[in-house]
Amino acid sequence: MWRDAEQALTLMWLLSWTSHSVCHSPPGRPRLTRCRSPEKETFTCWWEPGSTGGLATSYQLYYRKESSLEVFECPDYHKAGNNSCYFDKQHTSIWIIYNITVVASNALGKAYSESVEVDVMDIVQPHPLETVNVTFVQTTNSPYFLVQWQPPHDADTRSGWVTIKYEVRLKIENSGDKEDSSWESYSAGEQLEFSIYSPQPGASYVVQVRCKLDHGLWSEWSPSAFIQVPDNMPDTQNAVMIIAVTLTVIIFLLTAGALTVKMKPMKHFLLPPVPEPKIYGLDTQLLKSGKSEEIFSALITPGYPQIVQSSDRQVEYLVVSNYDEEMDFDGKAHLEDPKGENRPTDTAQKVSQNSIKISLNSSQVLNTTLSKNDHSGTVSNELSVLGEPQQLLHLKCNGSPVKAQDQNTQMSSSSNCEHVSINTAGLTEYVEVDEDQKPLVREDYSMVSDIISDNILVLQDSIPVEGHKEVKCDKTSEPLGYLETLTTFSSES
Amino acid sequence: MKKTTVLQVCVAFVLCSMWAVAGSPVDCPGQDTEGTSCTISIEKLLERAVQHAELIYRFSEDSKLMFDEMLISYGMNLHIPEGTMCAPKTVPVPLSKSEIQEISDKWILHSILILAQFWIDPLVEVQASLESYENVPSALLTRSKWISTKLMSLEQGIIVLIRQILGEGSLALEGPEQTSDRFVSSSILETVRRDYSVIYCFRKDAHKMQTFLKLLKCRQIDKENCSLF
Repeated sequence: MWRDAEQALTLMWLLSWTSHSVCHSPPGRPRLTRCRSPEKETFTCWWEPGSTGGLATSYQLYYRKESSLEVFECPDYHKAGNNSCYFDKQHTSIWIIYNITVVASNALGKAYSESVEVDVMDIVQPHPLETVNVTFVQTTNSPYFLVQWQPPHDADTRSGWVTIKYEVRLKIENSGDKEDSSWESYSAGEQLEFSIYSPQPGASYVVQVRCKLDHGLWSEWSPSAFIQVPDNMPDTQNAVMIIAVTLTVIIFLLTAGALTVKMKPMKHFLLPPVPEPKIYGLDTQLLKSGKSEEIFSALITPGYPQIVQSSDRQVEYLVVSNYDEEMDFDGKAHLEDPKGENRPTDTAQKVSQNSIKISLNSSQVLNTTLSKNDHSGTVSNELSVLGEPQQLLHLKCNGSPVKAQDQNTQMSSSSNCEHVSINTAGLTEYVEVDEDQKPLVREDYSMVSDIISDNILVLQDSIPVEGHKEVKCDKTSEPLGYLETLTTFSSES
Repeated sequence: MKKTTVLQVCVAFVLCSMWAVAGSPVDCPGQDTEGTSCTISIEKLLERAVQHAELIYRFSEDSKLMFDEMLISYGMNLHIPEGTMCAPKTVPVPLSKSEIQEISDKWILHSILILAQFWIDPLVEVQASLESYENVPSALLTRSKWISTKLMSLEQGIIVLIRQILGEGSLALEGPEQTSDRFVSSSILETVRRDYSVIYCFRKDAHKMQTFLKLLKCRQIDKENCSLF
């Protein structure tokens, strides 16, 4: 009996087990597969039904809003197809989390799916793009692909509610036996077209585009667009290049040949000589040889400038006299003392007035300083002449005890000499005039006995003057071209 | 006996496994914690609210400009002297920095809610009235419609925020009953004037809402350095 009971029980179990799959039974658990929001304003959820249990099964979707216990049912089962639930704008809120459950029910019972929590902003995935156009643009030197597309419908990209980003990918489609190359992806930002440069000539490409909203999920890739790059005309470009290169080489060879061949006219034609400076009268050979006087002599044209050559004149201005018959001069002093010291007269000194007047033809102003130093009875007057280098200063002396000493030049005067010339080589010169004599003219002009011309005074001299000193005098051969010197010395005789 | 027992146990086991209705704990999206119910974090909510408010303000600016252009095309010139046409609100505006620092989160949230609830109805009316205009630019219509829907959404968001931040229960969703001057237009000019004043004044309040939300977001997220001015 036990055995029969056991067998019956076993049979019943077996029957129920088989009838589970074959005969009617409550439904199996459905499963929510995914929920998507294409534009952040609505969303849709899809589920996968479980086993039907052999009976007609209906599915309902219920949801709760966050922590509230109130349960709502799906607002639209049909818009998104079978086994779907569409939440329209009124029912979509981005502020709360939805707790969604699908219930499968038939005559025998119900089955609940697992609950899924949905935050609308997290499930944003736009629809795939529908149309993608690719064209091959042939510009002169850089051909490129132009990929264009339209934004996904529904997405409100223009208002700023969502920011959209696109991505383009392409690869070479090989119809042969080679393996497929990999995709190259390019990010295209928010624009609706994209250019891809340097396509391989002769290859055939596949292009796809996808998009993403904010930080959501990428959409599916758009349908592929195909393009074939023509095998084109590097030939003309190459020909131009070759011709250009050949021409360049020919020109180069010609030039090199012309330069190496020492044909002067050819050389002059190709490389004209640089013109040298030419100054009329100046011989560059002289410069090379290095004699400066000759050079400058060449510069001096006869007749320019006006040179006072007569020595008489110069003598007029130089008063040197030891003897009675000598004439004493009293010249005027034109001193431009840069130090501001103007010493036209100094009665305490022997030399009453030493006047030096130097003028230049040029506009240079000679600054002359005249300083008097007392050296044990001698009066030395330093004349420093600043300004243009004067090469020659002619001073005439007439037997005067004037001793002129020039630092840079040789200048001296003798009583008998007729020329006192100063060769200046530098900017400053000192003409030192030593005088032993007492100044001739004191403040009162009582000693003046006669006046000759406008710059010669004849003084009566009763005091014998000490012996004259020998003064050398250099005669220079050539006068200064551009310098006119008028020098007056007055000394006591 | 043993065989059948074993067989029964096996079959029972197989059957039971098919009918297993196990309740597993729910995973909250974007969060690690598992709980009975999930909520969106406050930072995320504030970010979304600020984004709403910014867009609403921007669209209200655009609407005002478009309305101005439309008026010019009509030949009308409505000069709105400042501050006279906008109805006084129950929301005083803090004027100084110290005042702003004193106001509490509760005050901010309630103020924004009052403002949002106040403007929903007038904007819906204006949008309906705009459709009856001649030569109204379609952009203006879409904009105003967009503003009213988003404003309602923002109101929902503020309620959620109040619940999260302040812990208050769900507020009554009906705002203060206002004596809506539903006016039947006596003249076209009056209608236009009213519509314009709604858009004009709403723009100011939209800016207020945006500012308050930004301040609130700043306070919640970065408590130390929060200065708007």
